[in-house]
Amino acid sequence: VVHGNSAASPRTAYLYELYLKDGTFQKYGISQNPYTGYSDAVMKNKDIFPIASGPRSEMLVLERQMVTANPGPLDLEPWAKAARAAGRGQ
Amino acid sequence: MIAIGNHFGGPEQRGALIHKMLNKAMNIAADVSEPNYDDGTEAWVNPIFLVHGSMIRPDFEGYELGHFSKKEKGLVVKIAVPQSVADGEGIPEFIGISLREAVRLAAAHFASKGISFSTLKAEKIILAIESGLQQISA
Repeated sequence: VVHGNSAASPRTAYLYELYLKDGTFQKYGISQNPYTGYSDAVMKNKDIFPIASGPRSEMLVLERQMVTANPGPLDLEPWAKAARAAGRGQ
Repeated sequence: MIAIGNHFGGPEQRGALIHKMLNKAMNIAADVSEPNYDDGTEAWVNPIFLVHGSMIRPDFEGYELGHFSKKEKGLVVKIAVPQSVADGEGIPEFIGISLREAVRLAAAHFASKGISFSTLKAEKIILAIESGLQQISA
């Protein structure tokens, strides 16, 4: 059984950008469900924009490319930390 | 109290009028709310605008109650923003009407749970938002 968070999941996934209310970029994220990645929980003082959609495996690759090029302060993956150490992102 | 979140439907909406107006409403609500509104002392409503866009769109019309945070005493009310409004038609009016409906739904929900909720404080925030949005429209 392939679960929703598996890279092999066949369901459409969405790559998001999350911003604070002052327009400061915070992080990238992936959700299988439109709108519910954050909106099923309290989501205050933030703007979210979807920027791409497709198979989760493709979104994971794209997310890593985006995070490596421009990591946000809440992107906590090892490659985000490496990118920040290299002077990229915020 | 009111704290707003905005979930857009596509990257094309970044910088569009619907983004500017919803972001302005969010900032006004944050500016005029009491600083510790979410410390769990008082109930508050978290309207989340779900905007029709090129990539995603709400699967409902109108309003849906969402998550309730017992810790923060915040209740999510999801607001589906129609395509026409997302395209720029009647945005300030839509924001005012939908915030009042979100407050009404939240007040009814809180009342059914025996939780006190100030609609007066919420209305003051909505009035401030409407005033602020007029400045963008002008």
